[in-house]
Amino acid sequence: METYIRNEETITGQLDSDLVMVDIEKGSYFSLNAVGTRIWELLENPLTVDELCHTLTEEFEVDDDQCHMEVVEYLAEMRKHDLIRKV
Amino acid sequence: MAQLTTKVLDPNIQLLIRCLISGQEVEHKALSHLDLNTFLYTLECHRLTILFYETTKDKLRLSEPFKTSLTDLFTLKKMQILKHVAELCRVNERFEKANIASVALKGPIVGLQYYETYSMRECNDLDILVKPQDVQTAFGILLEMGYELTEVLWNSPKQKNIYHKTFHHYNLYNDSNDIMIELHWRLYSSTDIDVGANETLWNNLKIHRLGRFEIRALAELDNFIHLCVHGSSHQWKRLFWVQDIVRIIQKEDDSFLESAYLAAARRGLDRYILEGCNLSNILFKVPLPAAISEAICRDKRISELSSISLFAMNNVMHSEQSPVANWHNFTLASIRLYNHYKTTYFLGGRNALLNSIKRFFINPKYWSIYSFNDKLFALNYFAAPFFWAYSVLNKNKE
Repeated sequence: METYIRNEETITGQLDSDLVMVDIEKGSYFSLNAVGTRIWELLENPLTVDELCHTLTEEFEVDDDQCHMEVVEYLAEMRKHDLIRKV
Repeated sequence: MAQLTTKVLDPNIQLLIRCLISGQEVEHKALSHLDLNTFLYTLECHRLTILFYETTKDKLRLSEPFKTSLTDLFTLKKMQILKHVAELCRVNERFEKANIASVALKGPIVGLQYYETYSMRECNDLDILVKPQDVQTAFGILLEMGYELTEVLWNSPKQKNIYHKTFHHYNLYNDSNDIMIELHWRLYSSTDIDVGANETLWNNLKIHRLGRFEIRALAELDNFIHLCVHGSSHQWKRLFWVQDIVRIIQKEDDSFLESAYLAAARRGLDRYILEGCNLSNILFKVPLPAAISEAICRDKRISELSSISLFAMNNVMHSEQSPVANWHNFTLASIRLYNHYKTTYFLGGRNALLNSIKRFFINPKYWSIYSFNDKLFALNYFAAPFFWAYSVLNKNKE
């Protein structure tokens, strides 16, 4: 099972419920909604998709399958922007 | 305690202060009677948009147009901070690679230390201190990164030498990311203050983490003294400088404040500290340790300095206007000039006043109007008043 962790090349700031991130080297901006923000927070430590889903299903009203599908999508998108990396 | 009242302040500033203290619903009525644009401009001038928004967002019922404009301004300011923090990390890394030790002054690091997050404290530029021997290398790196001096500072070796002795930083601007950096080689603008202080502060630096980046900043005591000196030097015209002092007083204990006062007194900087504390107490009702309150009461100049600062806060919105555009601006500029020299004298004594007057004659703006040959450099002293008049008239044309 693959494990993910935050990339430390970003600066973050809360903009109401969204988290805005700036890539230090590229200077590009990203915005994460509440779920994305929570995933980002959890990835302070290395976690697998299952471990992320375990926490998220407890905190948000979402079933296991849907959570798994959305987390995988989120992680792919975050990886595309170098916000996270595989450990 | 000094007999000063906040009633002399502009109603917008008074309301802003009340909101920051309590953030209570009681201010709703007062807010609804205000001119929206003027209040937003007040927030911007005093660099308190983010703090106002964060403090009041769940407590105040704002009209929809006000809420929309405020949110837009808040978003803009927040993005601006993030951009500056990212740039601070980039610059820091470039300096590290060149073995240049640098210190982040004021800005987001103060936010990191004394606010809920570093993005709570607004910043419009980055202040970076390097050792005098590293300044040219650091300057070269910033030029490579796309920064340029905001104005021509010298046209000859003599002018460059005089500039370095008289002033303490370069102003650089990067057009591609809209970021301004002040590259400092001395902590304070006045050469009187530096004696002995620069050496010790480099040994006491603190490291702060921003992501994977380690950023050096002044130790708490040096930082507090620096913020007070900086605020007083600018007559505390922006309220967010006082807010920094408020946050520090609230976070640190009484012994910290007393130690800071004693350390500052040893360097002849006690009035800077007392004025910062006095304004925090008058404006934001922050309780002060007895020793500090007594020192404020003993020194009558603190009340006078604070009174000048309240005037400066009221008029910060007009500071960019031409002094010869109309009679009101001329009067205001004259009072500001008089207050500048008065506070310089009260804070630093005769030597500080003489240095400040000297800086009137040594001004790179004049050198760009006409540059005398280095052998005739003394002519600058005679020509300065004419160049000053020319600059003022030119500003009016602009």
